[in-house]
Amino acid sequence: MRVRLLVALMLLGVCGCSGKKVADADLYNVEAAVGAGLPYPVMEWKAITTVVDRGSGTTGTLFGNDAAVSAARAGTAYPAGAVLGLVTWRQREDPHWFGARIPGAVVSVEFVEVGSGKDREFVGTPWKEVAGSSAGEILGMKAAVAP
Amino acid sequence: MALGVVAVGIAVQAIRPSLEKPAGPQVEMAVPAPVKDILVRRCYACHSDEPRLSWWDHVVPVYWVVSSDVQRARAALNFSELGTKPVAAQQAELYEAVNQVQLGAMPLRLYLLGHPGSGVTDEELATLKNYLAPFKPATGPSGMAAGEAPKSLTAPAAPSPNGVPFLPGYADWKVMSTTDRGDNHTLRIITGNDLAMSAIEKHQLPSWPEGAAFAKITFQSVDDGHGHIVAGKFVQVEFMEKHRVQYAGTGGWGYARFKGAELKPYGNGPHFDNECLGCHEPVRDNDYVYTLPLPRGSK
Ligand code: HEC
Repeated sequence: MRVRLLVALMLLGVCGCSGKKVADADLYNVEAAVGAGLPYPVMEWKAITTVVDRGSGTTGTLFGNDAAVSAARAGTAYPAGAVLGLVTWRQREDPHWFGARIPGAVVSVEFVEVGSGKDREFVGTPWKEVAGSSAGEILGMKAAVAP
Repeated sequence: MALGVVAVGIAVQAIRPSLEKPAGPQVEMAVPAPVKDILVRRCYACHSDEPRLSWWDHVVPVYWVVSSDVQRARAALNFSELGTKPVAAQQAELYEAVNQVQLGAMPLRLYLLGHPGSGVTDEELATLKNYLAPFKPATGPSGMAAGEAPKSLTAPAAPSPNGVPFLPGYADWKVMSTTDRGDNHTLRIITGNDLAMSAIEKHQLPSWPEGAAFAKITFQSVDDGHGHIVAGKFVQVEFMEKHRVQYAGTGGWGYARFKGAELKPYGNGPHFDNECLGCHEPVRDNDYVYTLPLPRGSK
């Protein structure tokens, strides 16, 4: 009886191991998380484009609210009420693909509000607001347009 | 009786599918000697027109397994003929090979069991990577001008040859991640539909729910010559869509690729997607998904 229980337990152990458990950091890009507490839900927005700066080793994705995204994709001027959000990450090597780089830790998130002209940048953990410095650059970024 | 078994065992040795050199042109890839040495030592045994078999590989039935493996290996990647392909395609094959090695998918586990010590060493892998050097030079003008809006096209003329549909609205899906690919000078935005996003939010990975879908949108990298890189011309969009039963033959995922502004369906015949599956196979523990999604719904 006891032997049978032992065998059953061993079999269970074997089955348990065959469905390999994948570590969290190998399922999600944990270190690239954009923390909560920003004035806009930037990660819920649509992407306008993505950029890389080899000098600083960073990558950015430009997001926008619906007004901003429509204008950017149409190539027209941003209307009042459009808000752009640039999230910048330090790049890291893709652990799954030699030849690729993916977002690493967040460097900053910068919002440009068209109309009010506000330019707010957030850095650090928890977020600390600093004066934005790249409004011109952000407003000048062209949309990556897909059919 | 025993004699009979031996006789059959001997007779059966005559049934030998040929592994002779195929008639096709033999052109190897032009690579430096140390790189070539590694490829010959570690890969040519199966991935070339000069298979190197051990004596026990020659014994039927082992030979049957080995010869079918070699034939499949050659079909996937044949270093004796790789030189006939365009240079960019040769590079892409080498990247795929290096990545299969890095992810432990090559050489095959069964092959390593029968041929101990034949795996690629860390040092050899480093030599191959140094040769490929995807991000060197770090910068230099490249690509075509950005922001060229494709015209009003919203759907391809035909579905993917395997029947997997084009999924409109993919550019409006939320962002899973982005990648900067030094190996082929592209930037990619990877988006996911709402089912995919909610699985990330609810921390359900790697079990992606039925109906979850991803789009990988690829653009040329445009470098201004000073390392400021923006997304240029649209290259292609690729989809993976989860339907366990419908796509059981390809690991539960339907694969499709549409190329260029005209969204030309990619692939010859209904099984072109073996190519997709083959390269996604090393990440099967992640349910064949390469991307590490940006976390969602976190504190
Ligand atoms: C040479 C290897 C290779 C081949 C072949 C390949 N893929 Fe991928 N695929 C990748 C890698 C690596 C990624 C990770 C994102 C990136 O860096 O491009 C990826 C990502 C994807 C994604 C985003 C979801 C994910 O798994 O990360 C989709 C969708 C996709 N591929 C579809 C396809 C389709 C469709 C095909 C066949 C037509 C295909 N792939 C063939 C390597 C490959």
